[in-house]
Amino acid sequence: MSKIEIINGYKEYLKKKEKISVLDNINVKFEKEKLYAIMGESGSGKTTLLNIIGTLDTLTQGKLLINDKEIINLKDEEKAKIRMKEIGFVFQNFYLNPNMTVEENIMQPMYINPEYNRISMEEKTEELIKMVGLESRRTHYPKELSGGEEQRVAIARALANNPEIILADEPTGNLDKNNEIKILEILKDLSQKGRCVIIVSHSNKVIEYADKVLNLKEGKLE
Amino acid sequence: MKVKTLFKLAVQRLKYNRKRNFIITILMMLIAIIILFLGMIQYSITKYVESMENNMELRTLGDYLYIPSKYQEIKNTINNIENVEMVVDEFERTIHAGQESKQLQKNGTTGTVFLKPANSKSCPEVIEGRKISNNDKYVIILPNKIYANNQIEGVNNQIKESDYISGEDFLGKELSIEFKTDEKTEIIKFEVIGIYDSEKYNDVSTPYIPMNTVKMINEQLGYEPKAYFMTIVVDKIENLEKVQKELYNAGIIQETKIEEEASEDTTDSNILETNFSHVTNISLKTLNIIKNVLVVALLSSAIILLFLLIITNINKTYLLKTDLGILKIEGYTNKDIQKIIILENIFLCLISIIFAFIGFKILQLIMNIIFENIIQTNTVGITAMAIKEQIYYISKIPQSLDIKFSVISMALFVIIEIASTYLINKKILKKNIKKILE
Repeated sequence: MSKIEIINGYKEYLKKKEKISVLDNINVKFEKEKLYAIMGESGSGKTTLLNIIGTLDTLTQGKLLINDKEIINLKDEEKAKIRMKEIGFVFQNFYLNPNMTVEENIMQPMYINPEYNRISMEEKTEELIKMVGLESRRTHYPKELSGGEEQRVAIARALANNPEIILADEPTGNLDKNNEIKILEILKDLSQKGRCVIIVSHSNKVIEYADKVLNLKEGKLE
Repeated sequence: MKVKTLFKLAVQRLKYNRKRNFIITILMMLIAIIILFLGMIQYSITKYVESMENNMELRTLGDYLYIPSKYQEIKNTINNIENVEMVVDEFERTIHAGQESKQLQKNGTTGTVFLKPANSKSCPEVIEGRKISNNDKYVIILPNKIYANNQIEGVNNQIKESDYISGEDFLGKELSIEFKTDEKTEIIKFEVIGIYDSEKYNDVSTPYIPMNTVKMINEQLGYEPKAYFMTIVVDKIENLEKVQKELYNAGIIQETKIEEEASEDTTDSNILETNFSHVTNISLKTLNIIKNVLVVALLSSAIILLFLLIITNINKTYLLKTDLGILKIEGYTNKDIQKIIILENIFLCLISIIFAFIGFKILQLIMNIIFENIIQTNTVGITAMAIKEQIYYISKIPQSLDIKFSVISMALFVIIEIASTYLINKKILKKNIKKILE
C-alpha cells in the first residue's frame, strides 16, 4: 500500500482571467521508509506539489490518496485531522512561534491530540528534544538559537504527533553547509525508521540522501 | 477540544503574546474608561435634572395675593385644574417665625430649618418610614442628609460631607423645634415618621410637616399677616406653564409670563414667580440641552471608539497571521483556532474592563481634587468669580455611575470585540494556508 498517491493530478490558477497551469498530469506514488527529493527550477511547481500532498492546497483535477483514502472531497476539519495525525511539516523559514520556548514550540501540536495527557506530553517532548540534540536549549526562545537549531526544533515539532509522513520545503535553504548535513541526516534517519519523507529542494546535497529523485519541469514529472 | 485544554491554550497565548497583549489591553482599557466617563457625566446630569424636577420649591407657583373672603372660592377653582397638587394659603405655606432645632446643630451650624407644608397628595416620596397623610398632626419628614444653618449655601460656604447630619438617625424618634417670633417662643416636638432622599429632591434643609400643622403653629404664634399670599404646587415642572395658562383662562391671574429671574417686587401679585433663580445659575432648560448634547456626544464617541476597537482587532489579527497559519499546519481546525483566540480576547476584555473601572475611580478622585482645589483658591475679578461659582455648582452634581449603563456598555464592548475577532479570523482562515503564512 502506498502511503501517498496522486492520480492524474492537475493544478491551475486563474490570473486576470488567464489560466496558468502549475502541475500537469502528475501520477506519482510515495512509499514508507523512503526519502524522496523533488527537484526542479524555481516555478516548476515543486512547492505546489508538496502543498497539495500536505492538504495545504487542492488539485484542480485528479485524485490525492493518503493511506488509500481520497482527500480531495474531505471537509476542512477532516483535513485538519489528517494533518494532525499523519503529516509533519518543515519549512525553510522554520515558522516557530517566537514567543514560545523550544519546549513549548514542540509541545504545541500535542494539545489537540487526544492520545496525549500532560505526563505523556512531557515525556514525548523530552524524547524529541534529545533526538534533535537540544537538551541544553530547551528553555531558549527561537531568537536565541542558530538557524540549524531552529530547524531542529521545527523537525521535533513536526514529529510531535508521530506522523508517518514528513514534508520538508527547502529545509536547508537558510542553513550553512554543516547544518545542512545535520538536518539531512536527521531526515534520512527518520525515513529509515519507517517514515515517508519528501523533501523539496534546490540543493544537490539532498540527492545524496534521497532514495528516489523526482524532477519537475514546467509542472510535469520527468 | 476539551474545555480544559481550550482554557489552557488561551491562557498560554496571553502569556506568549504578553507584549502585544499589554498594548491592546491599555488601548481597550482607555476605550472602556472613556465610555464609562461619558456615561457618568450624562447619567449624573440626568439625575441632577431629575432631582431639580422633583424639588417641590421649583414646581411651586407663587406668591399670589388674595382676598381672604374669596379664598375658598379661588382655592376650589384652582384645585380643579389638572396637574395642581396642592394650594396653600398665607397660614399654610410657611411658618412665620424663626425655626431652630438644637438636635440639628453640628460643627457650628445654627440648626436653622425652613419647614414646608405637605399633604397626602403633595409630599416627597420616602425611602424609609411613611409619607404625611391628611390626618397627621405633629409629625415630620426629614431629608436623609440634613444641613441646618441660617446661611444660604453658596460658593464661600461649602458644605463638607462631615457637616451633614443623618436624618435616618431620627426615624421613629422625636425632633424638637423652637419657633421664635418677636413676641413668643414655642418649642414643639414632632415625631419623625419618614425620610426622603435629599439627593433625589435636591434639598438638604427642608423638613415637611402637615399643611394643617403649619396653619396651627402660625395661629398658636399669633401670626397676623399684613398681606395674604397663596402658593400652588404643581405635579411636574414641565406643567408649570400649562397650569399658569389655566389660571389665566380662569381669570385668576392677568398675565401668563413666568419670570426666570427673582423679582424684587414681591407684592406684585399679578405676576407669578418661580424659584428657578434661587437654586442655581444654570437653568433647567440649559441643563436639559447639555444632557441632550451629551447623549449625542456619547453615541458619537461610542461609534468612533468602536471603530477604533475593530481596527485594533484587524491589526492585531493580521500580526497574528503566521500564528494562525502554524496552528492550521499543526492540525488545529478553524473552529479550534477561533475558540482559542476568542477566549484569549475575552480574557483581555475582562482584564481591560477591571482596569477601566479602577482607572475610572482614579479619574473621579482627580476630578474631586480639582474641584475642591479650584474652589479653595482665591480668585480675583468678576469673571474668575463667575467661573468659580459655575464650577462650584457643577461640583455639586453627584458623580455617579449608572450600574445598568455600565453593565450594558461593557457587555456590548465584549460582544463587539468577540464578533470582530471572529469575523476577521474567519476571513484569514478562509485563505489557503500558504497564503496565510506569506
